[in-house]
Amino acid sequence: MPDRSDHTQATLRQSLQGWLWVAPALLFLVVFVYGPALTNIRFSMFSFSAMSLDWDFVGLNNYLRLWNDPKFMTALTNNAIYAAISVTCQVGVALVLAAVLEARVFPNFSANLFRTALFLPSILPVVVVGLVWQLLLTPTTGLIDQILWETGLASWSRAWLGEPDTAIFAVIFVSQWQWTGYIMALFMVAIRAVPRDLYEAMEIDGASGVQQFWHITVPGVRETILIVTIITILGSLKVFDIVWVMTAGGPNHSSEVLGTMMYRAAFRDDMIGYSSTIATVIFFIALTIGLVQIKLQKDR
Amino acid sequence: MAYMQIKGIAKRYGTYEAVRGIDIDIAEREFVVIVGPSGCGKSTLLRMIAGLETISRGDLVIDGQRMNDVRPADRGIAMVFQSYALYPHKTVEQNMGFALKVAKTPKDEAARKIARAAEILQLGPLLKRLPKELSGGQRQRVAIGRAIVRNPKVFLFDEPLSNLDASLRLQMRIELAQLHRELQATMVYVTHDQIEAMTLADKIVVLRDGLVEQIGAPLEIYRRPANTFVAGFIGSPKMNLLKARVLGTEAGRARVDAAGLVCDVAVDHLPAVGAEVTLGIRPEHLVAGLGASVEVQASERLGGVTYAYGRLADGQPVTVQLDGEHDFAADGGLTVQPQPGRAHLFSGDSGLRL
Repeated sequence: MPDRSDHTQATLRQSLQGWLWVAPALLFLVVFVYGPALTNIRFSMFSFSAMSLDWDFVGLNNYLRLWNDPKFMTALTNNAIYAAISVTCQVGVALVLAAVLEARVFPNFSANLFRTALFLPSILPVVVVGLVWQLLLTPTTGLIDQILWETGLASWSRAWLGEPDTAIFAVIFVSQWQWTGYIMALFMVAIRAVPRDLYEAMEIDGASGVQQFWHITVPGVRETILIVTIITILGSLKVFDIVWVMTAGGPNHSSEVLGTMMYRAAFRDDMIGYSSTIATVIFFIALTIGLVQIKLQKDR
Repeated sequence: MAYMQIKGIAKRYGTYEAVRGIDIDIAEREFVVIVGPSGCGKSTLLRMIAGLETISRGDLVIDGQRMNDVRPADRGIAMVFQSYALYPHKTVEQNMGFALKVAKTPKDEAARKIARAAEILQLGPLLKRLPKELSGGQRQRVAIGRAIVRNPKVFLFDEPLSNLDASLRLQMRIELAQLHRELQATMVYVTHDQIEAMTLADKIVVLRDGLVEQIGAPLEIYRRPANTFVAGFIGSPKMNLLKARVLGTEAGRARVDAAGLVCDVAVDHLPAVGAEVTLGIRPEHLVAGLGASVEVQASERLGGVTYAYGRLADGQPVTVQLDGEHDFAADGGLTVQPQPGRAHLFSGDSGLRL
């Protein structure tokens, strides 16, 4: 019979081997992810400039200041609207589109054409998309306005990116245009994993296409729905590039989001501590959403 | 219950014809088993009956009504899939009641139908469970229950037992036979397993390459296979098909010799003397004793019977079924002869029964 201490030593040896295997990745994460995240929390307790060595400890004052900053509520609201619309479009609409394309309603050629057309925007760089849509949305000379004029809807014409009421919605619309096709492709892959004979059994049971969607497709891809929803919400929370390119948070901060606010504080106003505070808030909101996701997945 | 007529049905995929014009008449309450090797078109035929595949040519008639363009739900059929196709997120009860819910059947009537099917299939205690909480046999029963509650004119089964282990398959086979007796339903059953075909069917349809090779009662097919394909496909172990030469003929009989295995065979069409023919003789119809010598190469002892696999003098492979107690070592070899009246003769060219 093997000695108990031999067994323990063997387990330790195996465990050490395991740690050695994960050590490089762990080191990378500590140096480049967890370390900076913790340092950022520390920064948020100070008031300082990137150009100076003088750091003033302010405790939680940066958080208090942020809470009282009217731009913060605007940004948070815009992020929430961004997330709500993105979940509706990128999860809801993309799932319906994927289900329709996978239901073989259209001939193969048309289905492939739709799929490619819808997916194509996602491979374009965000900056390019932003600039192209800026041109399209230009008042009077832009294609959108031209179409409105030509179709007798001139009264709808406006400076989509220049008016506080429409700026954030125009940006969100462009983001949906870019990413809905990508999410649709993810859903198409998930739908293909649902056994075909379940749909056939439903057909024999007399279920309509809509009933098949609700009773087979939705429960069949619910894991993907959950993951895509979380990714979309996190993406909406961290959004920066498309907003910065199209409106830079304007006009009059109406399309400000947490990302642009943070960037402005750090690189325009040189308030590194305040910027770190915003980053910390984003971090904790994202962390909470991530934990909810893990909990939901464990519950299944 | 309903009768069904399959009239010249064909299925074409591009230039490939998977089913090439099949005619089958299925009487009311008949249990028809469509059997054939993989790729013979049997599942395609069943799916055309179900409405899951379009019919390229021919007509499908159920109870006098042409069904080619009728949607699956309105054909009066129910189908049990090979994979069971149970809705994974619904309980057994919801699975069985889904078609009734879609058809807006009153709740009390639906509950009554589900309860009856559950009683027939002994599913009562499982009604609140999800499919993932059931064994293979239980899932299969739920799939059958889902078909029963629809009270269909015709039940369709697509290799329903092939995912079960051997003992469960035997049990389900018996239960299916009982179910047919109890429901008195018209059933069409597809399988590649000839034992299922022999044990369940009132009528067997043997398919090959999209065409019907033979239709008949199980024992009729076993006793009078129409050609060498059917002869080899029905029966386990498969029939020995030996090259033989016609030694002589007389009224309704031919005397043939296959490497020393000489026998008289009753025929409908007399072959020419000296012609090359195929002698068909089942392993269970060869008896040890005087006759042709067999060089035994391997044997399987199953207890009740022993199968000996060997070669005749000219090298042709032959399988012999022997008594379970038969001792090769003591014999030092094996000589066999056919039981009188049990051999079959087929044309050497076309393979058709003579």
